[in-house]
Amino acid sequence: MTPRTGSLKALQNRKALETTLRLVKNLNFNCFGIGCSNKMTGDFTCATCGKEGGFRDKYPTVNCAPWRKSTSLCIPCVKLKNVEDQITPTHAFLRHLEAHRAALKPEVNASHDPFSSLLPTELASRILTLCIGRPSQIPGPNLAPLKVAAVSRRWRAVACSTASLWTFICLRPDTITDRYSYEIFLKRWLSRINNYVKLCESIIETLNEHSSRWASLSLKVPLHLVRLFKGGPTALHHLEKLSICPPAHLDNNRDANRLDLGSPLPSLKNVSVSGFRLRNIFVNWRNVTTVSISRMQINECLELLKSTQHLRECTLENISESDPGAEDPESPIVMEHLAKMDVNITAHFTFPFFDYLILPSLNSLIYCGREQPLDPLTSLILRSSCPIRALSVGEPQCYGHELDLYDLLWSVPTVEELGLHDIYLSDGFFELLARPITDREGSEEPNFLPLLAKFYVNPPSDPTGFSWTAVQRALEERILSKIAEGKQPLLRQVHFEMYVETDEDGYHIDVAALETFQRIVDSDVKFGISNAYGLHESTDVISYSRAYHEAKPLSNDT
Amino acid sequence: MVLLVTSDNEQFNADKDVVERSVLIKNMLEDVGESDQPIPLPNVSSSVLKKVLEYCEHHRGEPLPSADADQSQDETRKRTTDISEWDQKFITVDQEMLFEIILAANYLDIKSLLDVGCKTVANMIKGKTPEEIRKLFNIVNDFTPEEEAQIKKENEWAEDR
Repeated sequence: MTPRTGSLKALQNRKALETTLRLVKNLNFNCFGIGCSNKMTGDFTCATCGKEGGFRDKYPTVNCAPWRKSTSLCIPCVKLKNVEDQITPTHAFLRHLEAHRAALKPEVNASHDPFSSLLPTELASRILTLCIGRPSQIPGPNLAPLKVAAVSRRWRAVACSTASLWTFICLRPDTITDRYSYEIFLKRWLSRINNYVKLCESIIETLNEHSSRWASLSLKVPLHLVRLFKGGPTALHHLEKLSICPPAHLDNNRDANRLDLGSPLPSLKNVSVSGFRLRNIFVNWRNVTTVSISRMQINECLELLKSTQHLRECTLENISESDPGAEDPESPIVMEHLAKMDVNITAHFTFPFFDYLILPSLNSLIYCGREQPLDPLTSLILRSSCPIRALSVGEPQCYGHELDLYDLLWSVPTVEELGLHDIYLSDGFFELLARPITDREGSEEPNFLPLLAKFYVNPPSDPTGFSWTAVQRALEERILSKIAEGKQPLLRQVHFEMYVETDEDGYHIDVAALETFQRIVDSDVKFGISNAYGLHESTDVISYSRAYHEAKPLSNDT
Repeated sequence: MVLLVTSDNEQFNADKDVVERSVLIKNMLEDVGESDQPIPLPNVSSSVLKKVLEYCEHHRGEPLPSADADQSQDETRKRTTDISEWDQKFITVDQEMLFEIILAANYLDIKSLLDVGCKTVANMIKGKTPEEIRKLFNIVNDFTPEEEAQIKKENEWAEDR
């Protein structure tokens, strides 16, 4: 650099500039002292591809415009230019290295990741499908499809092309605050199963073409797909059986769906429906003989019974209250042919279902009603004068309402098989059983369960409400006294399934009762008492009670 | 007895009803008929075949799964962790061997062994975060910063509730 003037000041300026440049150079090397090969000229050497320099194509121009006009750069501008000269190629070099890195990472995965290097896509896809547990609820934690799709590019490609990962989704729109993001997300999720849905539709269309040959139609599909099943131009003469049971979590749109199999309406014999509005099923109910319904409302069940006058068997599960405003039947529904009924109520409201029915042919009734009163059932039986031979009652409102149970049992003298599940029983029940059965004509004294042949008891897990002594008396009367008379006892099968903890009453059978029970066991009668509490190796109460008394011969009865 | 030759030229003699748990070998035997010819298995090494034969020997005589056994996706989901105690012990091997067994089961067409292998890997993955999965298989995060940001945004929205 040649000074333009010979003045001392200019010389001083030049020296100062040279010193600054040297200092800046050193300073910059110190600043980037991380093994960088920058020699202030932009000549980096890429250790990956060996490229040298060439990273300083687009240097910014430093404009120096000091307030005092000068032909040379001011010192700060020189410093700045120097720094810019280093930053720009460094950035370019960094970008160069980043490009290398981006290209190398998949190569690293190709040799590390078994999903990339070893497994063919169909196996990788199979494994990812197995990773999915329950259907994902969105938004929600542990969304397995999203997690496996966020591991690497290869995993994402496999996950996004595995339709089965995205075919189950449980949405919670009530929790959505950002509707836009929600829609975008949903579209993206569903786009991954788009072909799958189209495939379903085309399969159903093909099936519909052959609907005239259907004999049994069983739909285990999401409810929104049910509407796609349609009869063809020919009537469905062969269709006798229909089942609609959507997979769990995919059946929450029961109102918007319908099943119309075309005209004339198919005449079915056997119908099983879960979670679908009965009014949205267009079939001829008149000849239906067997029905199994779950997750319906009371008014729907009553409507169904009205329409199925040839019904012989009926199972109703998880029945809920009618919608407000639903009309009750104006007159009782008489089901002339209904012989077998299984009703399971899980609702916590009083269930007025039985009040509308008359079932004169009912001979088998399985009833489970959580904390439901028993008197409507008793009324139904009395009103119907039905010959019930098999009765099973579970979980009604019995603690403190034992008399209601007795009323029910007094109303079914024809019962041969009786099951009492999760019902509190006291000695009073067994005292009734212990009453001698009289067969004198004209006797006004009624007999309690005179035809009882099979008896199954499964009391609740609370401390036993009855004593083994009471049971002993009942069984002596019903079984041993008949054997002593040389007769075959009517009661041929008795089983108690207990859940009694070690220190609770009834855990061990007392010696006297044990002796009676052993005599019954030794006879032809099938008799057993099991305890599901399970601390003992043996769940046979008779066996472990005997062992207990043999080990403690002097102990008092428990 | 059937003579099998592995990729590293080791020979294994095994009972016919043991090796016929492999649909591939069963078909080969049917095609060849009664013969003493060794069956070459160029995709299976001796160490892996030893394990595979151990599995087949243990499950000798059990009914083979039907062709449509894995059709029900719902059932497959439910059964994910359902691996018998013996199979669990059997499949407790290092990762390399595990994947080799899966590949061999796939090649030899032994559905039940393939099922055990795939379920084991699935159980290793289940419940882990993407970062934990990367660590498990020595995977490098190869998403670009833009892709990473997009995935993060998508997943945060769906999960952070």
